Amino acid sequence: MTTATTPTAGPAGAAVPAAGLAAVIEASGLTKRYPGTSRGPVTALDGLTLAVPPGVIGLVGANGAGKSTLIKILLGLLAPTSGSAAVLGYDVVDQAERIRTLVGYMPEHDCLPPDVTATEFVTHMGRMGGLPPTAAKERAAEALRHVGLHEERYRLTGTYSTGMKQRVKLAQALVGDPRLLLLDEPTNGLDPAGREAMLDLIERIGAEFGISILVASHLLGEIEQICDSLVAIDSGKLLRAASMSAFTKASAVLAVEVDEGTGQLGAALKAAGLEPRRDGRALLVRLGATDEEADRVYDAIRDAVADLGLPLNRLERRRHRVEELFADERFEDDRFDDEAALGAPAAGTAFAGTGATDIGSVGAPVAAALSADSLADSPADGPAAAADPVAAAPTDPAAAADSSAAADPAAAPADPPSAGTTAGGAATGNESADEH
Amino acid sequence: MSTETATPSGVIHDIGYRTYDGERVGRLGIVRALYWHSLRSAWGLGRGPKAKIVPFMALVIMCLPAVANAFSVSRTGIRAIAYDEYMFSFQLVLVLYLAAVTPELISRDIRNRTLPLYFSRPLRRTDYPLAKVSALITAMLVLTAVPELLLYVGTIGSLHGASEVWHETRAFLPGVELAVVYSVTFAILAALLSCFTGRRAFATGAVAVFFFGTWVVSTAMVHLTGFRPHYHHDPDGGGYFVKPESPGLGPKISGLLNPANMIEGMKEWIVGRAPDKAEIPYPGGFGAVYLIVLVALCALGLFLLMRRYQKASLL
Repeated sequence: MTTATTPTAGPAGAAVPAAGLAAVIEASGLTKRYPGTSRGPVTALDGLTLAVPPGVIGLVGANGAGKSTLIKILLGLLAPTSGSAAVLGYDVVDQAERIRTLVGYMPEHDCLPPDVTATEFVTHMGRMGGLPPTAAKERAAEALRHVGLHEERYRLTGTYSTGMKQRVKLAQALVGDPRLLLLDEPTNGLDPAGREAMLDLIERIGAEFGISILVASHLLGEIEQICDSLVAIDSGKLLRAASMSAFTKASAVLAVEVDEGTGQLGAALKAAGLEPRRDGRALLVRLGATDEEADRVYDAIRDAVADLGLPLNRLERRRHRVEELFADERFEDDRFDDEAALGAPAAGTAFAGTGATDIGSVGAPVAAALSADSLADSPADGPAAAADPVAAAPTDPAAAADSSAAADPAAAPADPPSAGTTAGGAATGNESADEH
Repeated sequence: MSTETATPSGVIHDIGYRTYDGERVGRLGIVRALYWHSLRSAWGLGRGPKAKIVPFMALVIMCLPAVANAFSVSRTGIRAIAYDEYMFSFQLVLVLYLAAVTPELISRDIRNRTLPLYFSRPLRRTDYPLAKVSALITAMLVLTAVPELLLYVGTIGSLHGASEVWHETRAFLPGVELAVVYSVTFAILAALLSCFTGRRAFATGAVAVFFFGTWVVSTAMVHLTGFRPHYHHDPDGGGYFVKPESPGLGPKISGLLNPANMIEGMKEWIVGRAPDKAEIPYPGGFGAVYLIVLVALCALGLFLLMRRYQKASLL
């Protein structure tokens, strides 16, 4: 029988995160188009060029952004239309088999036969990965222990909870001792506690097992806790690939929620030089790029809440959604202005729809500023976009009645672009919130 | 589900993650492992007791005539069944076995969406269906060859002299060859029928309906187009049924409509005569068409099966 040994890092090196290694995943001009018989060709990936260092890598993008397509190309399951990619230094087209001996894959969907035990299943999958019978049994037991399945592993997987099934899926990816794990939405369908447990597990595998991991998710807030680096894609295009710290600084937002007087607090924060925006019952405040700036924001919020004597309910670093990241003004993306304009109708409806008393304080001026912004930038989208916010403001009688709202419109012309972008971010944020 | 945590409660010592640097079998080794796993599954081994009922019931039923034959030959010297008519007479059992087992081997991985796990491993796309079909053919060979062997062993036990045994062996070998042909043809077609659906019931239905349906249609067409017994009047007032010697092309073409009839027609052509009870007329020179169609059917079945597993929709 032919034997295939791992060419990279020897057994001893595996315990140490291979920081010095070259990129685990490289792509250059990677493009995938599906022919699409009825609706014309669909471009799933569009000229993706990136190089990612070892470690825990987050792959974020909205649903349909091309995450799963990218993973399947990296596994050699799909052939790229053009461009090239390499995993662990092996080409995905010519050396796909080599890659697949070194990579563990956890698909997004359910993939467990219900009528076998977890032990049987993972053992079988170990054998399908090239392990001899005895080694497959041993490693299956170990992998299941590592993912936290103990006595349950002798039960049929059909009786498992979603969380346990996700663990088995992870165990089958882990059983062949891969150098790289490709996890497609590993927290799918899990409750908050299950998500935390799964993320802890992934973090542990990355840190202690020395295995590089690519985690695909549409929830940035979720994987940003565990990632060393992040790749953001949207509509098959690379938005950004960078280390985690660069991302969090650019997009850190604090959510403040008070039981009453949200409008007062918003006004007070605005007076303190911040740019609060409304998101449901909470106010979102940008934290700033440096620690000093963040400290100032925290202090301003503390002072404002204390001065007004408001019952503070919640103060937390918000879990952003990828869409907000995309709408961030720090990303110099030339499609950005279009996106803000596209987000405008949604902004109008969102604010009008949640029309509580103090929404007008933030919503009305922002919407007004936004309409001006969109008119200036993209005349084609402008009239339609402008119509909604204008219509939305009068439907909210409280907006006119609220004293802070009357005070605020003056602030709108002062800084229209930033107000506009904030509203765009809020709009997309609201849209994505509806998905969950 | 929120109760389970990654931290073990008790005294189990966490020895940490261990890398594996032992032997790895290559692609061929994986195909072999999949083949054995599938072959065992086809006989219900490694599965629950319920999974063993149908395969072993089928085997017992297939072997009953051979056992009866052993008694019959030892007591009266009369053969219960001929080697080369065994499979045709008991194709019902073969089809029932396939209808029960093929969905388990083929449709199950589609239903559970396990295929992406196989294809994300070193296996190639064609390796998976090849291993599955090979396992199914082997499983069918057990079901077809074991009864033939029992029939042979049961018969030669009652024979005297080397020439009788030699004669018996000459009759036995075509039976084994037929068992192989039946196994290969039926397994490929059943696998092909099952690979388009993940629903076990649909696959079972498709296999059963295909083999039974085409058999009914084919046999009816053979009769309708002229191969049916006529009553032959003797001058002394008696008479008997005879089948026409040369019924024309219609019945011969009709025989191509069903795999079992096709194999029978091919057998008659190779042997050079048709048995008295034959459902298919002796094809003469047309027998070559039977052989060609049969080979083409198997090749096409394999090709379609391989192509099916190239589809991205299975991922």
